[in-house]
Amino acid sequence: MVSNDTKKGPMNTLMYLIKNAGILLALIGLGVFLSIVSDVFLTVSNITNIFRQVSSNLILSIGTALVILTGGIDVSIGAIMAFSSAVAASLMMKIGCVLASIIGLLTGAALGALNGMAVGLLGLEPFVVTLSSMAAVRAMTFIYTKGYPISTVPEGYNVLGSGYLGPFPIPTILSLGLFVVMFLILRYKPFGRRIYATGDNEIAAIHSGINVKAVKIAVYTLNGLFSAFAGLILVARLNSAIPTIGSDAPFDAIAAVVMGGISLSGGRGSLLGTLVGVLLLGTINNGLNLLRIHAFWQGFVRGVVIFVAIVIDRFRAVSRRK
Amino acid sequence: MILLEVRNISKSFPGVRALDKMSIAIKSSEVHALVGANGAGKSTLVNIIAGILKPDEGESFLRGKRVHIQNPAHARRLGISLVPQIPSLCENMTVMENIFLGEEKRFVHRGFLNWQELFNECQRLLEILDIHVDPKAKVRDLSASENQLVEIARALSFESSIFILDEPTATLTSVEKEKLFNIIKKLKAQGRGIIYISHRLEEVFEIADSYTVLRDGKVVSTGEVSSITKDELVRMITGEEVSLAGVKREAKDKDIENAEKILELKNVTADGLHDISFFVRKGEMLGITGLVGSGKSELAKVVFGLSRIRSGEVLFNGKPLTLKTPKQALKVGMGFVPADRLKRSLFLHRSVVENVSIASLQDIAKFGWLPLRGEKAKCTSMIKQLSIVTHSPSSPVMFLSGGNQQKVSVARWLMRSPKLLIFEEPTQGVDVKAKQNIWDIMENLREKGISILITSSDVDELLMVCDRILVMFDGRIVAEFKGNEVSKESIVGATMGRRIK
Repeated sequence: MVSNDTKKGPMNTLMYLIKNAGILLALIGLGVFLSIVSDVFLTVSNITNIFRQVSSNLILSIGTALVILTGGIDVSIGAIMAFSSAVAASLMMKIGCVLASIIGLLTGAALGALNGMAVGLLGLEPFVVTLSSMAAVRAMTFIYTKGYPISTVPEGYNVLGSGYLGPFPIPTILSLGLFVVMFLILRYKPFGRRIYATGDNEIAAIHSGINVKAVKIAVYTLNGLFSAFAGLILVARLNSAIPTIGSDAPFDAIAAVVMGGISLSGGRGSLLGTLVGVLLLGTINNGLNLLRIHAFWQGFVRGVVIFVAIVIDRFRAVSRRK
Repeated sequence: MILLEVRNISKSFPGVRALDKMSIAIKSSEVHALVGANGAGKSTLVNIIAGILKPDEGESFLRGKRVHIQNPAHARRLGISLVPQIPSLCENMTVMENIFLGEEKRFVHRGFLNWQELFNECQRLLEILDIHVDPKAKVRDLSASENQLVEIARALSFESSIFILDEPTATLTSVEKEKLFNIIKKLKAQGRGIIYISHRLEEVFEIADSYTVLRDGKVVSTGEVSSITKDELVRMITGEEVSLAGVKREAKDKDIENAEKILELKNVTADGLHDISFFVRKGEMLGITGLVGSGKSELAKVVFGLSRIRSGEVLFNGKPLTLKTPKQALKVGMGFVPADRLKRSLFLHRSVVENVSIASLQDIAKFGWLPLRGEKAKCTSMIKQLSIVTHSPSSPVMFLSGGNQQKVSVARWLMRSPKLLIFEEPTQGVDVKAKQNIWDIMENLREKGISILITSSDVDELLMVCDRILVMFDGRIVAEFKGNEVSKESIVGATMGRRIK
């Protein structure tokens, strides 16, 4: 009893693209605009630069996307990023980079797991949980570092942040690699389905035998792990761990995820959109720099663009429902 | 006197002509039954009358005067009240807040809301209606039927002249239904007009004076209820010959009586359940009925691992089973098709395929990865087997009709070749044809040796399909009947606590 898809004319295809790929069109449009007004934009070095600059936001956005897909939210990623990278940086001279990095990653995962348990096991509101852990973990970072940057990072660690493999920056390879892995997991692993199911209808998910508590703990743990990962890349790039880094991180990540079409109410959207959202945000920043717009105005423009993107998304959702 | 008349109303949605130049007139002191299959246009019509939707064309007349109904508030001012099919109350507010939502200014004195007065008024209203609900209770803590009763109380608080009741009895027990019918009779005696929508045709004959049959957005027939028979009505609704047939179970009785017990509960006590002992045999269809609060929904929850037992023993296939989560119930071969499919069963934004496969992901996956084509093929064969009507297997489930959504939740369990399926109110709110369809599906499952546990407040349904019927009252099983040797009266009696045997 399955009827075939109705035939799509060229006009319908165009409408379909506008409805479903609005954000991609925005990215392309912005790219074309910047190529015209700036000689620098469409050069290999500038594009490479954009990809490198967005790599930490991409890593953070992937984790954030997982959390939002389950219907949650996590604003503590910036603090987790700062704390776990401070822990790692402080240990590097003593126990070596590899071990220190692993401890940093585990610190991030552990903090994420605490978020996850508060949300999953205690059933608390994700926003409130991560808001309090954001405050506490940020404070822990200041206590641990006494407020000073930790610059005892060995020579050579900066390969992780500034190195190249052939023509490709290493952070770009790492972040895109993580993206591909998580994209495949969401699409082809039962775990991915469980994430969507939990976000779409938690009660139905429980009735379908899904352990939603475990799913929630898992996504917050992964988000913590990825935050630490992004933090390590930043340490490598800056050759030090700075206690204040990442204060805008949750907002950039949430903006990229939402612009990429993942619904804040959970269960809807794809990681592909998140990638486009991250690139759009990165291209906006790049463009603002190329056009020499004052830093004070940059934040304003970013805010307006995000708002417009979300408004467009909202109307897309409404028109699809009709 | 004609209270309300709509003439040549049409309304189209993308791809569907929901109403096609249809007309209807409601007189005062009349209960007018509006019947038709799912998708015939009943809800569209009442939504237009209640101001929720705007017609594409056509006119409305109220007491002979032409009116343009702008929005629900306007409809209410004109004296039209709607009790929607799906309760639309604010879950986190109290009963009294909900009942007088938007009408608070009646209780405002010098700029302040007089809560005591509002409470008293609510209490008075509930008392008149004989509804036993605490005005200060939060709506989210109410059962489905209490929700429905509050919704009815809310509609009555407006003192309207026209009441529209859309499937009001779907979640009500027979006692509550009687109460509702008494209220309707009172309203009728006061000269008001009532539009009554129901799939339960016996109710139409019990309460309605006149009827209108809708099919594909058009009026097929209209007239006095006393001038037609039930069979004629069914024929007009479906447009074809359908006779509601139960399952011929006599022949199979013997086999089933000798089959092994698949599920057995011994002296189980849990929240809302006291000392429950019963069993289901392989290939048996066991019905459980009772009033709301009798424990039948709690029982289904316990069996499926949704709530824990405090004492007692559960045996599955003869082996003791500790049930803590639905996952464990799933593993041994149980499936649960809950009553409230939108809330508890379906992932509305996900595709039919994903909805069907969600409980079988481990079986479909190869080395931990899902072969999407293989998954789609398996689900497509389920779609065919249950004749689920969908645009494509990848369409979101929200675009399917109610009956087909119900089948999707059945398909989910069928994928797992289950041993026992629990159906909760399996045919609630579905039309005659879909009802028969679901019964046929259950019978097919049973023929494959799958045991079926049905909890339902529709006694007629249980009598039609079940081998045995258990009756619950106050958390206990109070009576057991063989499906083919019991009258409806004795079951209904038992549900109200009348001891038998």
